[in-house]
Amino acid sequence: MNRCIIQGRFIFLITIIFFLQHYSSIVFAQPEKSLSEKSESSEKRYERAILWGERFYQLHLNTLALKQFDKAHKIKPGAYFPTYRSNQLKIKLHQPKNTNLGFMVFDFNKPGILISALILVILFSFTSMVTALTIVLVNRNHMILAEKRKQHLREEYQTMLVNFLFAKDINEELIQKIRRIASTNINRRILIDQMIDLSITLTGLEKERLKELYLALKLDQDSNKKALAKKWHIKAKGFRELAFMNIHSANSEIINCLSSKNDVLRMEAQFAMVRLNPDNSFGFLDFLQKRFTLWEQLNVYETITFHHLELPNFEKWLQSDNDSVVMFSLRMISVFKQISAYNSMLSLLEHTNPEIRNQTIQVFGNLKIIESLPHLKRIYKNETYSNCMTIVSAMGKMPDNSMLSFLKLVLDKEDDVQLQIEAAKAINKMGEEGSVALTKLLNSDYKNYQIIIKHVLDKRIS
Amino acid sequence: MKILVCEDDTMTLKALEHRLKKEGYTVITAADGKKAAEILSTDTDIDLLLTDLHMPMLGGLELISLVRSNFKSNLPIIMLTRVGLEETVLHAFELGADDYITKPFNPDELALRIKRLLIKNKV
Repeated sequence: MNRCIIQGRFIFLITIIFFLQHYSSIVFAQPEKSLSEKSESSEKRYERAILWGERFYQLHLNTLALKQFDKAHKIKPGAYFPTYRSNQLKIKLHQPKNTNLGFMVFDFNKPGILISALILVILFSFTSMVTALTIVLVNRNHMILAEKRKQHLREEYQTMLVNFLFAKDINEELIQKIRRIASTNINRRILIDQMIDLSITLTGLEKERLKELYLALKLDQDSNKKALAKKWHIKAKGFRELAFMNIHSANSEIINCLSSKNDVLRMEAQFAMVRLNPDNSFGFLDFLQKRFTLWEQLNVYETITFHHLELPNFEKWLQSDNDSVVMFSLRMISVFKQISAYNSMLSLLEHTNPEIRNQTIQVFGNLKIIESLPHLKRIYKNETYSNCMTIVSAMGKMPDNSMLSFLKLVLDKEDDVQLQIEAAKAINKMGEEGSVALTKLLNSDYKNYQIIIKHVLDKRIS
Repeated sequence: MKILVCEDDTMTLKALEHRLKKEGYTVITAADGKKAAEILSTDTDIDLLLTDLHMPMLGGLELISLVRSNFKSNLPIIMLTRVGLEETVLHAFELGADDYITKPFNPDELALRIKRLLIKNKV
């Protein structure tokens, strides 16, 4: 393959050299004698004209060649060769244009189709480039100006809204001014954005006044329109606006979107539902078919904490068919310390999904439910490696001396060093009894635990 | 009484400025911690610092630390934080913050906290 390429390149190079040699010999070949001599005889001038005429002729520069031959003919009117060539060239010049593309012959005096096409392409490209550049520049300028105008409006509205909210009495003049501003769509959009921004920051009386203004300006209609729009991103924006301003008019549409295939829209619908349905904020979990992604879970958790929402009893979703809902409920039980869900969680230790079992074990550890220890001990031998690790780690989080013999057994019988380390750590957390047990094991000749126990007892390693 | 409000969100900054002016305070604003530090280094009459925790250039925690070590060791500082940042709040208290309020905040509550802290500092 490489050899072929090298051969090909070589042939190409040779061809180029050949053409260069050929044309350079034609164009740049020096005349036999200097042309700068002032006193030239008519013979020399004749020869020179013939020489250049021939060169131009070979290069198909027919008009130039004709001039040279005419010149030669004037010097020697009787000479046969210039007359012959002149006649030949005159005939050629009156013939139709040469369009021999294969040989790439161009008559620059009378451009052929190819030349014309090339000129057109160049002109078109240049014009397109200039047009595109102009459009880009104009557009960019327009965008900068629009952004500046928006920024100016934002600042103006911010001041107006803040003035309105913190005024002692209702300022009718200001309301009328805001009403006038809110007469165009763009202004209304900016005004809504600013109001949402404020509603995120404020609570109490000011937030109530903000909502009153929002309703008075009929901005809720705009948000409703957005919520009912076909485009998902407009819909999502509408949901968010309604959720922040606590408007319930599009709840049915929001419920419809709870099972949307679009992840963002579904998440916005969940967020809106949590905010807008205080009696059943988490009702959407009852019929959530899709996977409740970690990102969605995080958003819902943020909404709960940010808006101080009333917490439901997450226990009721522990038996959900949707595993991701069960996982979320377990996480929330752990975060909000809903220990009352213990009995329902116990049944999850037999769940078919190892991830749910793992999460349940973690929750037991986090909530320090000592009653779960015998159950953890019972399931240990049939569990996956990852779950075994979580069990031993959970035992370390809720140290209880009743588990000492079990943990010693893990340390003794398990071949995996990580499990042994976790078991030793759990023993170490059992206070004095644990430390004594570890020291005994350290000095024991029965098996060499020295490296593991020394590692666990090393205070530099936490 | 002069209060320095440091907050990167313009809307919140305006709301705070307006509300505190309504209470009769002189309000100086800064959009980031760096500007606030510059103001604190030149203006010695500031009676209270109200600062957001998350800001560009110089964050709220760094600003608190800077104030306590370089400028006024007894300047009352109130933090504005989001809910769920308990660890950050604890860290801020360790650095020397006096009080905190979570966003979204009730402006009346904030005004009362400021008043209480200023009286306490005066005493």
